[in-house]
Amino acid sequence: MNLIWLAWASVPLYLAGLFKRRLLFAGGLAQAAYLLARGVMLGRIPLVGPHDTLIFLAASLAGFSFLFHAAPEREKAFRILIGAMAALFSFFAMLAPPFEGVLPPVLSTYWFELHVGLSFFSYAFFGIGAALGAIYLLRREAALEKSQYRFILSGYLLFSVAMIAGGVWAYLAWGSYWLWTPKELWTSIIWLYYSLYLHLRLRPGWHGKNTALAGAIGFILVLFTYLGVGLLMKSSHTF
Amino acid sequence: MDQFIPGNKKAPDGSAPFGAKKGLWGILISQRLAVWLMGLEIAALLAGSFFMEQSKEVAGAMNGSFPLYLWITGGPLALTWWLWAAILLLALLTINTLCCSIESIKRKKGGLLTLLAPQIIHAGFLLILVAHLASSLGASKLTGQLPQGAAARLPGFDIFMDKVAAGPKKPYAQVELVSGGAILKRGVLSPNHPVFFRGYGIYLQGLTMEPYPAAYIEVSREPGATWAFFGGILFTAGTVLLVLLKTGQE
Repeated sequence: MNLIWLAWASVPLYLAGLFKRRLLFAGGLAQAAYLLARGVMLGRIPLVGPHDTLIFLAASLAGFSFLFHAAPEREKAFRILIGAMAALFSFFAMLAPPFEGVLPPVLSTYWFELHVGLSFFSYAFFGIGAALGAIYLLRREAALEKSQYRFILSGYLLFSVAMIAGGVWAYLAWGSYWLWTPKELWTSIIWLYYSLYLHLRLRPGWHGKNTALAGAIGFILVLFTYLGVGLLMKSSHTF
Repeated sequence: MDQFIPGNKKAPDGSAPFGAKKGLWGILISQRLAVWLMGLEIAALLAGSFFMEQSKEVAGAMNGSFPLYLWITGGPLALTWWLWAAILLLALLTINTLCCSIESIKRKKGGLLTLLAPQIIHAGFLLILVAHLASSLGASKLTGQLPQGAAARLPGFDIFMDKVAAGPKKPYAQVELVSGGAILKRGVLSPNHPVFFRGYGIYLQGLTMEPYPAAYIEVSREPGATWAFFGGILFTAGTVLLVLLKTGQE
């Protein structure tokens, strides 16, 4: 049974989520159900190609955003930013055709699933951190910057584990845990950038406006690494 | 509600900044230096990614059959400068990381776990750098077609291709590692399932049944792999600890 309508339904749900947080959650649930159905149909985790991964990212954004709790005014701005990002990612996902072919044998491993799944979870955490940073820049409430820090630190952890899983997988598949390609370099750039963010936050006079901005900019690097490098540069991540 | 105090010159945890000490040691332990080095490292890698895109043939050789050390020392500086810059910055970052860790341990500020978490992350980072160094100096890769019934010679042993089959789910190849007529090890190669022996990894990259059954194999040495793995584990363990501590504190 084709449940693509569930994926389509998530776009208006996310847009409605700009006004009501429960609808944001409903959008995430619709996408989770769609991915689950696709996974059952394909017999694997559906994480290949921009259709699947953008939906996975949007659902992760919506899902993990529920870890943030705040007073209604702050929550409203947060809900609008997360809803807008999730709707945008979902819309672009629907423009890309779903990949339904047989996976190359080299992708049939838990290391691949762990690598990709955790990468997108970390992107979602970085995205939430960016949203919180943007709201901090408007409202200047210390609690927002602290929440941003917590999300980015958690994203950094997930990202690091994802990179280790990727290294183990590459070593088992190609005999090298590291390949010199633009994708790997940009991955290192993200990792170094968030390391820089974490160190900047320890610098006197830097935490607050500067780190909030730095945390928000980081997500632009993440999006470029995810979408831009794949589109513009030759990569080991093209299958 | 916590508010940032204008003009507050202390770090969020209330401590005096690293690098407040004077002299060379003050510079070496400074977070400002770490921030600058990381920023410049990002710039070097950024330049490298665009260079790779513009000089694909040259960049492709970075993943070739010889160690990276030969690529960087053999290539013209106009093509390799960004990697030299990245290595130099990483060397300085290594010194800075070590000095910061030593200073933190000397200061013994905060609880044991608060003190340990960043040092574990730093140790993991340094191990990963050691791994890259080892691989850059000693990694090698050989690829070729090995027909069923034939053997390939490696230092100290031969790889005998016993059987090649498409398999019901995935292709596989049975190999025997032999020396002086004795079988040292038997193994089955398939995608993501190499056979490791005496520092070598033997990988199945593909196979053909026409005009005769043969496997495309890759034999590689990656001396930094174990270091990188343990470095990654340490790095993760330290970050988990930091997340737990900071989630509770902040």
